[in-house]
Amino acid sequence: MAQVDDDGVLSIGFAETNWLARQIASAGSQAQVLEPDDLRNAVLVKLRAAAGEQS
Amino acid sequence: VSGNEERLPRLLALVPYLQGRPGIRVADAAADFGITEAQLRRDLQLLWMCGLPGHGPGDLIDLNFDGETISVIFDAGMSRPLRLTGEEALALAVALRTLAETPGLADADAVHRAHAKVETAAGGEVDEATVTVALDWTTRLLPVLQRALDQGRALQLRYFTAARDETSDRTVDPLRVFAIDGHSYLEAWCRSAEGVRTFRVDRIETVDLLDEPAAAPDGLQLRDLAEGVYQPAAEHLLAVLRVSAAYAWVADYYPPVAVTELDEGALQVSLRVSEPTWVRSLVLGSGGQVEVLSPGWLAESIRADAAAAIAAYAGK
Repeated sequence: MAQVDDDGVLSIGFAETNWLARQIASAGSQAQVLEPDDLRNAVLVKLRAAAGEQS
Repeated sequence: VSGNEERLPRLLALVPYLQGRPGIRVADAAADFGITEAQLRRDLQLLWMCGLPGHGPGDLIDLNFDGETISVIFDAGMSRPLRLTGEEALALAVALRTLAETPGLADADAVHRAHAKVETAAGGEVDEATVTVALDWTTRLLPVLQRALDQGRALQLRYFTAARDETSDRTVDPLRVFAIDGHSYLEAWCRSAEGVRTFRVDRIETVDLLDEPAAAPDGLQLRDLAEGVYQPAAEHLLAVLRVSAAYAWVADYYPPVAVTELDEGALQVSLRVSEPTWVRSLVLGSGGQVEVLSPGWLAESIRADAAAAIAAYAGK
């Protein structure tokens, strides 16, 4: 379940890191993971691949 | 015709009903019970021969229905209103809760009043903790959409368009409701788009049944749905994608114009796209498993968006 604060920060519980990383990466520059680090890194891997960068 | 299964409960209900309405017209009472006047008179004649043990004067139910009206002279102890069994009360409560859950179908106040009466009559056997009815969103909306169609009324929708990732408010004139591949759809004339649009029911966020009549233009040709809900058009963007074996489902999920097999199970898929937003989301989330080969501007736009997102992470 998700909770949205007034400052645009969304807190969301999740069980599957790769699934959530796919959802967040699909939003491109419209969404950014603040924490945890493993989810940040998973999203960055997908974004770098989409940007054509070598991982 | 009135069968015994219906007649016995009606006979039991008649005396308290008539006592509460002294002098009621035969025609009105018959209408309330949904039977003919002749049937009601036969019921009254049978009641006239019922009563307490002894069966003498003063023991039998006494009624006056010689003229156009009915009066109870002696009720023989049958003045207590019909009681509901727990099972009957439960069935009524479920039906009323279902009505209350369905937006726009019934007078909500009347439903809640009726429900409170059933709860009271059931003596606490069907309270809030006993009966909970929760309908899924599509099940709740379909009767409202059908009612709009039946009554020829317009609808106000708030609708989420997945392909554009946006929500919009529209006034529409319903044309039909149908189901394909496990999803229900409303096809309607959209007044803001000035065209026929198809709305997936589970993506309708709110719906209001308007008092104004539906006013779709005359002579509209409804689409042949044999080819599916989404039908690519020549004016849509032609996108060519390279998808890995893990994303080969794209060629099955979206109707392709052409598919070419590449190495290691990868495919080159050409398809018509009404909104490039979903291609952008697919590519960004795929982690390099999906790549836009054409048009070049779309591929470059997606790469730029990914680079902007990466840069934002570097700043935090």
